[in-house]
Amino acid sequence: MSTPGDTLTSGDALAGAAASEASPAGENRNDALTVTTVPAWRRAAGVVVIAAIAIGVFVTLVALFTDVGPWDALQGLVRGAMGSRDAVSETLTRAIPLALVGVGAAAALRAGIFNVGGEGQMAMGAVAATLAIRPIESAPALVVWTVAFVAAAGGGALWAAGPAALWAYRGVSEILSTLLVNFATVSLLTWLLTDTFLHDPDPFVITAQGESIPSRLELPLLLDGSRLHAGLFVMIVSTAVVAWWLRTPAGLRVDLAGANPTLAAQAGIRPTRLRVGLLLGSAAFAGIAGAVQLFGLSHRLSMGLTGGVGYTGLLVAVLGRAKPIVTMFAAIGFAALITGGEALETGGVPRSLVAVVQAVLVVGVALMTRVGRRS
Amino acid sequence: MSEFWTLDFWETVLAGGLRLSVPIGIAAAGELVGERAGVLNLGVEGTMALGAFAGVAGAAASGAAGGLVAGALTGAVVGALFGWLVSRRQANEVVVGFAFALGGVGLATFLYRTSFDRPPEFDPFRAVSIPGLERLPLVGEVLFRQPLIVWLFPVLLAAIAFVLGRTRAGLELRACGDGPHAARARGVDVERVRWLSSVAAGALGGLGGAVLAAGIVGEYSDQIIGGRGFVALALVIAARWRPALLLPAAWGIGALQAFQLKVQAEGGFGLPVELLQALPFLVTLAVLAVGVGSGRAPRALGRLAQEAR
Repeated sequence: MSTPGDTLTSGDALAGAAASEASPAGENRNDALTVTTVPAWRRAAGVVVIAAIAIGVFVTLVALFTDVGPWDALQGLVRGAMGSRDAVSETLTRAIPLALVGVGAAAALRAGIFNVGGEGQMAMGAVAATLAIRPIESAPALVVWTVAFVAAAGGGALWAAGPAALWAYRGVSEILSTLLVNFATVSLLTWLLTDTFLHDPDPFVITAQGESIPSRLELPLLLDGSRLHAGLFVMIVSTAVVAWWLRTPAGLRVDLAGANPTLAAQAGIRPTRLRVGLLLGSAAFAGIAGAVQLFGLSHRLSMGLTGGVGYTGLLVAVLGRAKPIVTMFAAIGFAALITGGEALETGGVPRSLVAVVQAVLVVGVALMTRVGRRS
Repeated sequence: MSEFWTLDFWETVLAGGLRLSVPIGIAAAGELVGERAGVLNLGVEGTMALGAFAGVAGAAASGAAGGLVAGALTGAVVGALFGWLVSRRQANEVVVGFAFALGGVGLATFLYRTSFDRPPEFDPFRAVSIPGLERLPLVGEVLFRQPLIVWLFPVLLAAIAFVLGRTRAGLELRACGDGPHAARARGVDVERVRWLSSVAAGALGGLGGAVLAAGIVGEYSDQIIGGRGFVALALVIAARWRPALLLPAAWGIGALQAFQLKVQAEGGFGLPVELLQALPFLVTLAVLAVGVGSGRAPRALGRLAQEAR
């Protein structure tokens, strides 16, 4: 849609947030939302208002369209998300891939890059991990996991290489190209898991799925009787690494490239190269998320491995205002909604309602950051 | 198996393609109107899904035509909300658009699940043969044995081209997309024009979804839009923001979808089904890669947030 030099594609918006110190006021033409100027009490008030609106939408839709009492549904949502040890561990389990995709997307958002391809990149990360461990399955588990995660990062990044090249050389919006790649990837994955050697060798299996990994290689569970696995540490470490990296001079360059590419170029930064790197890097995190799902949860390649996490992960990054640690907590929040939504489904409230609530929250954040800019 | 090169095969593909081009084309036409005013709405997917739901609900209540009206109205409401958020409130349009895409699909699914225990029954539009013309070889089957609804698309495109190119309202709309500051200096209420064009864009997006679900397929399903809203976004770029080019672009993508369905129905000709399913998306990507001239985009597109300062 526009040439890389002045790509405005959007995330500049969020990028502006952290970059306001880095670029002189008034100069940064691409700076759209400067949250840093919002007084703390207004931000707190904004959060309360957004939460109230989201709850209001939830209650209204439940009251109008289902037979469940709105108050019961709200209670059920909260209890299903965090009412018991099992609920909490399930919420954390679901937060892991969301946060991994989210922190990668957050770093890219700061430089104005919207990586919408998390879904496909996760899938290909998992495929790459599966391929990489085939020759070394008997090696110590730690070696296998390391190789697998490196391969997954590479597979994810490779899957963003096409959109990255199209953006850098042809000016094709990375939003559209990464999205279109997702849709093609669903077909590719189906084919890989149906018609190729990746298909489950069990002759009775006809669905599209892969062979299960040796149980020795499954990520260890952290709590008895739950699905919470050691991927939790991958999530925490990844978030910490990205948060640290963004505080180094490299992070300053990222923010500057997002806030004002022209100024960044004058300062000796190559904004296009940096942004391509961030698109690939965020894809690498999505790939790792795919591998974590593979080793921690599904234990085999399957069509449901990604389950919308690639999309929701980007929303989480927006909700976290492109800050890694906030993004991780936003991921836990969204995971709580998803877990609670599953519990509601058994009670007669379709879980797709959760997607509506998530959208309301994200729109609310978009509005709030805008409010900040005005003051 | 060997029917690949028969006239019959290509008749089916082109005729089916024409039918399938209508919903995606109408939605793309709406997006085109919005983008010419400088509003980038990534939420077409969600608008189409809600339009599809409203279309089916409306059709169940008062026939397929009623479904189209319901779909368009629903889309207009969605567009009004989107326009208010991004134009009046200057919320980031990419973020809001993406939220609308996911939230809209979620809301449509929720509403369908809670509103209908079993799929509602109604008749989609039936094909009408035009006497005389239908006997023409190839053209007769492709153009003149179609439900009349397919003609809605070229008619709408002609109307849009006329309004954009030949009326004062169209000039003001384009001014908001190309030079909002100048437009404002000349007394155009840019926010209002953008809001209105967003309403129109939403109405067409909803209409597109309704045409698909209520007019052509005859039912709603969770995956009915299945990425069409995003392909519609790409179509606008491929058509270089010109209504006339949208017609061949939409027909092309519709024919690809019809080709995929027909080849699948014929047993695949030895091609993997999955490759065929990925084809529309891959071709769209290739067209974007080859054909995009960024110079033709409305100059203020995607810059809503910057202008407000």
